[in-house]
Amino acid sequence: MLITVEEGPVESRRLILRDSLNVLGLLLTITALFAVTFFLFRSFSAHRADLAQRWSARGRMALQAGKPDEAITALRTALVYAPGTRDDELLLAEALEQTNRPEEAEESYQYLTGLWTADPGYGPINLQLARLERKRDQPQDAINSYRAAIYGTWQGGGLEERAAVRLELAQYLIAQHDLEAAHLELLIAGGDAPETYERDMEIGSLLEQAIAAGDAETYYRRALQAAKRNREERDAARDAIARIEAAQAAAAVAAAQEEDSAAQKTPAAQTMGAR
Amino acid sequence: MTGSGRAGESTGVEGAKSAARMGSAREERLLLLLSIFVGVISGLLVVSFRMAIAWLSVLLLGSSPQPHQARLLWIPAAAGIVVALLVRFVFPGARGSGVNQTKAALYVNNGYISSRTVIGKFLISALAIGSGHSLGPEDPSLQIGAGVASLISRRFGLSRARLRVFAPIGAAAGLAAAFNAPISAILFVIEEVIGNWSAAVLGSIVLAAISSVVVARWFWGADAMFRIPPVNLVDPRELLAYAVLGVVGGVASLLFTRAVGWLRPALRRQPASWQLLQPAAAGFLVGCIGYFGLPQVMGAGYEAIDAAMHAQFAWKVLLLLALFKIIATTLSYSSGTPGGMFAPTLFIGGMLGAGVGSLEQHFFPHFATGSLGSYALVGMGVLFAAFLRAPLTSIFMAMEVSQSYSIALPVILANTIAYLIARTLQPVPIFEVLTHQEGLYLPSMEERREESDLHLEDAMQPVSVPVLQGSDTVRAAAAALEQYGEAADGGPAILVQCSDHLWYAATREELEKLLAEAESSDLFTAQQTLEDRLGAERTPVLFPDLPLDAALPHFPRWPLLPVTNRAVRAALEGTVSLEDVLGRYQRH
Repeated sequence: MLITVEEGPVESRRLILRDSLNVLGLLLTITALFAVTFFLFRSFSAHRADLAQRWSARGRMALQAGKPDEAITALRTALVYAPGTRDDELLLAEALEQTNRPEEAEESYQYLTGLWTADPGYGPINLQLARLERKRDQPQDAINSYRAAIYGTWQGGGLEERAAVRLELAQYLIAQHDLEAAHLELLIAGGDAPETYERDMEIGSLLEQAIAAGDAETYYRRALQAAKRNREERDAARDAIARIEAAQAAAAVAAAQEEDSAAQKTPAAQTMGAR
Repeated sequence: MTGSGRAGESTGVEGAKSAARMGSAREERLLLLLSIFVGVISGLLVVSFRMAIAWLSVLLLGSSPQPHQARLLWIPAAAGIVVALLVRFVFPGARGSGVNQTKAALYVNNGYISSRTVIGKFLISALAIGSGHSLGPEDPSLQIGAGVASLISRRFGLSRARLRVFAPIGAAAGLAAAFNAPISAILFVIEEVIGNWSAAVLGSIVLAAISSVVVARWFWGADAMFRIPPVNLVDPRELLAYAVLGVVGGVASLLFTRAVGWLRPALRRQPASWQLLQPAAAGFLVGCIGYFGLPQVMGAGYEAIDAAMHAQFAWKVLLLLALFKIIATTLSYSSGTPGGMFAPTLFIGGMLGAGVGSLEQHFFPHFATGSLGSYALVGMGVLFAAFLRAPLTSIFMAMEVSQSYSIALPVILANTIAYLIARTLQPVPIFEVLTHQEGLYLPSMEERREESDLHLEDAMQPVSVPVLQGSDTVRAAAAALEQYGEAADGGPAILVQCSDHLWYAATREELEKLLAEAESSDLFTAQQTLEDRLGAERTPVLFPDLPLDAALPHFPRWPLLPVTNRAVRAALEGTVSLEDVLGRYQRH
């Protein structure tokens, strides 16, 4: 288009007006598009969250019902709609492991290792990893993972959970015949754990298994204190104490008899020597 | 000429110059502002596009597609029929992945993308991907962004040069929003769509890409597209493991390219009625893959990539998924179903990477110590470099997605190996293979051209000289020339269209001499065709978007140069003479 010098300002004003109207039109378009997208997205997100919850619940139920294959499918779907949900990830690892098929067990291990790489300080991942390493007969790795679980992070503080992991570790150490280490873990667990009847009884029982009768009796007595109002619990604690006392008495008698027999043997030997 | 006449002419020229300056300044100012608008609108559309795909997927395939569900078989097939009908009768411009169509719009149609194409691409691609066809949303997003840019620039009445610049700005915005990775999108558009680095365009591209990503992140969150586990290179010897991945990736990309390069033209050669059924048949076959055990290959497959990165699959499953994704994508894409190749490429690369990493960790546990996520990420980069032939983008993509520089070394090593293998064994990149199959000759990334301020189209004139057919006999040509009468006398040359779709520009004297020779000689010579008499020499092939100085070396030989269409080389866009070129330079 040919514009003369006189027409220039007029054309310029016309263009400015046209551009301004176009910009306004664009702003309105963006506003309308944004509003539509916003409401659609809100509905979309809510729908996905709902799907994630439903599939997660289905997965948990399947796992509780001992149907790991169904649980795997459900939990994988839940993770599609809510990626990175830690609880579902751990449940999935558990479900994979529960299939008792070597491929899935391997997959479970790899999956857990992957989760651990992403968050090595998270207690529940380390606990699951420890359990899997126990199954895979990797005792040192399992013990390391248990310890990492104890010192790892837990939702809501994790006092209870840490104590429970320590007890599980102690059980494993007893099974591994490392009684000294188990004894130590149980004493720490006893110090850390809240004093409840069940916990004290459990620690006492494990200490008994770790051949630490004296400490076991202490915990049974604590359990007796904690179970003042419950007759059954009191009886159980008393029985345990009585059992330990009986064992201790028997041990004392045995020791005394051994001492006596040793003392009897010594003069006889001296006499024999004199002859 | 009188004094007043000269004064009037001077005023007119001044006015034209002033208007040109004003227009240029206006467009400069508008470019940056409109880039932001393009970014925001593209971002919103891409968010909606991805939502539409996800929603359709749940609606059509259910919230948890599993093997042996009958709908996996019939839904993609039924959607294929709808897709084919829509592409054939309603949205013909929506065909293909989107990258080549954007390039074609840029180089053939001066950046013009119709609103119908944008709407069609959005709807049909969403339906195809949502119903389980093995395609991705990134390339369509790129075209949607380019379409938005084209629409806006037309609305503002920008010049043709600006229209051409604007489409890639929108393309970068669309891709950035789809990828949630602005740097990779910018690099890809520069590397694969524009082919050169122009500071003015770069600024606008960055603005548009950032704007669209800001919008996309407002909705999807700031997290990367995939949840990448920590990436680290513990032992330098592990680079050997990544090198192996590079070799595997190079071979896989070669297989993928060959498969698409073979099946697509084979299917396009079929009768039109059968072509209408191809998307349905492809959908059914892809559905079969899902039905018989691998539903992960259906759709874009981001969830499966995420699962592979977090070690949810055993190595055998990973390698199977990679293989069947190649098959599924080849089927879906070759059938003419609109949808992108990016997501399938990333899927195949991710599965191969995680598979090879898993295998190496299984057999050489002390050697391959990196996480499976790192292997999957490197695998994605490898396929991106080798299949899409965008090595620079692939490296930055891996770093941008993982937000880790420690991945750079494995990525560079593996990508280079894969790229070299693919380039050696398949010299023509996939996008060029596809454009050649469509009869287009678009500039490839290797054909990066330096932008010049002026192009041939700026000096090009409408065809006003006589045009003769080279296949005519000399006598017929003489008769045709006579019909032009006086019109033929004034022009600098006469154009002859040869049967090889090339041109010959003959001077009047040259042609008269030739005709005279034919008249005076025997009957055989007179019956010879004009192009036979002219010999094998032809005028150079010139396109409107070439720099103006590209014509200059040819004027000593040719008085007039024909300028042809890139898509149809026999079609004349116009002509340029030395006077036209010099005149245009003088006016600049």
